[in-house]
Amino acid sequence: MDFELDKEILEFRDKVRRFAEENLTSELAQSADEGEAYPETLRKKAHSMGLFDFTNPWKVMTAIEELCAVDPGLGISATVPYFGAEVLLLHGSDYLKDKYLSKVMSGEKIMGLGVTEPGGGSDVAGLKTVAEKRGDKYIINGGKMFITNGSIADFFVTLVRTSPPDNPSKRHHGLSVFVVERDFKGFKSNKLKGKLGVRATDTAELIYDNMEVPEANLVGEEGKGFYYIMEFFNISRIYVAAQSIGIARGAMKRAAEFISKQESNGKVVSEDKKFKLADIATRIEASRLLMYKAASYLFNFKPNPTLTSMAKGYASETATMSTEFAMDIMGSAGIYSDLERFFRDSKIMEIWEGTSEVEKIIISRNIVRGEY
Amino acid sequence: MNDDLKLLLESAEEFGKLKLMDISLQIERNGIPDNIYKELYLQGFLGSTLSEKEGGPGLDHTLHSAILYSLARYSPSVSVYTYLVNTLGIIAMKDSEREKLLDGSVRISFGTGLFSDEETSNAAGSGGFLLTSKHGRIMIFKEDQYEMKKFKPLGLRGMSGFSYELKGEGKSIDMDVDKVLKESSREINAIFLGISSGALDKAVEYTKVRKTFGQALKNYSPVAFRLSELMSSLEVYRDGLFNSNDRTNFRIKGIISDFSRIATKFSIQFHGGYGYLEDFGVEKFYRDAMFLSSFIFREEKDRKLIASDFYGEDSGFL
Repeated sequence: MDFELDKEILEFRDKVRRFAEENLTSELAQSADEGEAYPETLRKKAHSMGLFDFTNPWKVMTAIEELCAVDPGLGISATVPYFGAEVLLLHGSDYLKDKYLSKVMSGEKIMGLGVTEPGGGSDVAGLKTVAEKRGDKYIINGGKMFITNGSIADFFVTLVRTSPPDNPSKRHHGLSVFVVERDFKGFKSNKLKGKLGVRATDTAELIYDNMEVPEANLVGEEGKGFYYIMEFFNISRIYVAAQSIGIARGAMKRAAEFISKQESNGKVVSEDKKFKLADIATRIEASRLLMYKAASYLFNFKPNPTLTSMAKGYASETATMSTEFAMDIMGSAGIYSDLERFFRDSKIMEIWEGTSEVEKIIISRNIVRGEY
Repeated sequence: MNDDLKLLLESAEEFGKLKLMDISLQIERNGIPDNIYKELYLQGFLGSTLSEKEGGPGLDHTLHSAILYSLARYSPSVSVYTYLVNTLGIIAMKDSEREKLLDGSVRISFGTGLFSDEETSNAAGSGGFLLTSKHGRIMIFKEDQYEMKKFKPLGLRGMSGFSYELKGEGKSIDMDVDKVLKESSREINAIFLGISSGALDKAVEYTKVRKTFGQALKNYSPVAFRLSELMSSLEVYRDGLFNSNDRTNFRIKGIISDFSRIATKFSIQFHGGYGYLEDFGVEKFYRDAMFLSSFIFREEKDRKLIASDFYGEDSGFL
């Protein structure tokens, strides 16, 4: 069994690494973090460098990990303009692909995904936003919360209820996905400020107030939206695993450099600290192997949700653990360095795209069902 | 629990509720307001450890801890500032300068070099006098003897933070910081447990009202079991804080620092996305627990001292 990535991916990885080191500077990272300002210039640069080749998802996953290893906030900002693209790729009509997806893939526009609501994140089927068909339009009322790119995206792929469930136990029936534009009548967004971390990314609340959406903007079949979104999460969770591994690597690098500098200055570094470094490195390797296995299934069109949830859950916990251990290793040098930003950024990995608890529900349910 | 302790806990808790709770977000964003320093003095919290001979109430470590625990439940920054003034500040400053410090007229900031073996130029505070270490000596500098550049630190944002460049000579202070930190282990534990308590209280309240899949979060066993376990641990540690001797409090510092990090992490986790926003007042506890575990609890140094205390000889130095 050969665990090495193929030559094309290794060369691509080196290219992204060089780009990240040259462009995700500490000055930009700090100013974007302090100002909660989305780095638009970086996004365009990353796109022009061809860092996001959706014809090869291994490259997408690699790019995410490498960028986040240098700075998580900037790394995620550069990679999320396409957030939700797979929904259109897999289920959008030619019209929607041409009108919306092509503009995102060309770098001209930014998109977002509107699923989470103020009253529910984990309980996707419990959403309250409704769409009513009137003539050749749908009128949508409701709102979404914690939406990445919420105040900067040109359009969103959003999940709403188009019909009541046929059975109270089947709340996931009757949900549909639409493409909604920022310019649609009735659309409003409010930027959310004061996040603990990933402050270079844009997050907002979306409000749909009698928003008028053309029927042509329905994605796929009416009533199948839940399945499309769950399918998307099976993809995006692998990318969150990549974000997490990147964060953990960035923390490890800083801790290792600290130890090396201390020792070269003649100071004794305790074995306890070195054991923590070893723990970080081992977790990163284990996380990456789990991610690669899950990705291998997914990218060969045999998605395995159990493995995907394992990868996301485990890697996200690796991210927080690694930053905490790195802080322990570096002490006061750590709390006053950019490691503190990695620490703040890491916590969201255990929450977004499915909390650690939701991942465990998926894993255990699938095991019991014999689907693992 | 004796009456003095009970009374102090209640009065500090009331102070926290009335004076700090509603402005805790403002404190994080803009720093501790001037009037709070005055209020701390008027309440008798600033200067509470000053001996009776020097005109203070002369509170012992247990009673001082009661104040710090309750303050930390609402604003760790206010609690830590009170602690540092009442331990290091009153040693470093005398006479009229000390009076102004205690009545809130002047501020004091604390260089990280006081607590770390590394020579650094970062400090927690908003200016005023600067107590720090320089070439291994404890020194105090007046405001015109250093230049500061403010930044937003990971933790204790209410106290603020800055990097500094020394300009003047400063004054040497005869102080054994390690000794002070060891002797005030109970107070340090109190701050960590106050942080834990503040965070866990919020998590318990939130999980009672927030519903998912039609049920309150508290009805799910992973949530209920984990939170109740953390709350139970908090009760045990609190009991140890107020009822154990000084040596025990010194020995459990590492465990309590670790506990505060775990408790605050789960508190954010159970708040979901809302926990990640400063508005909900949970994330500050998480940041402060981590910051303090490197700031006043010295991960390697203190664990070595604790290990050596258990073995009765120098240990854990490899």
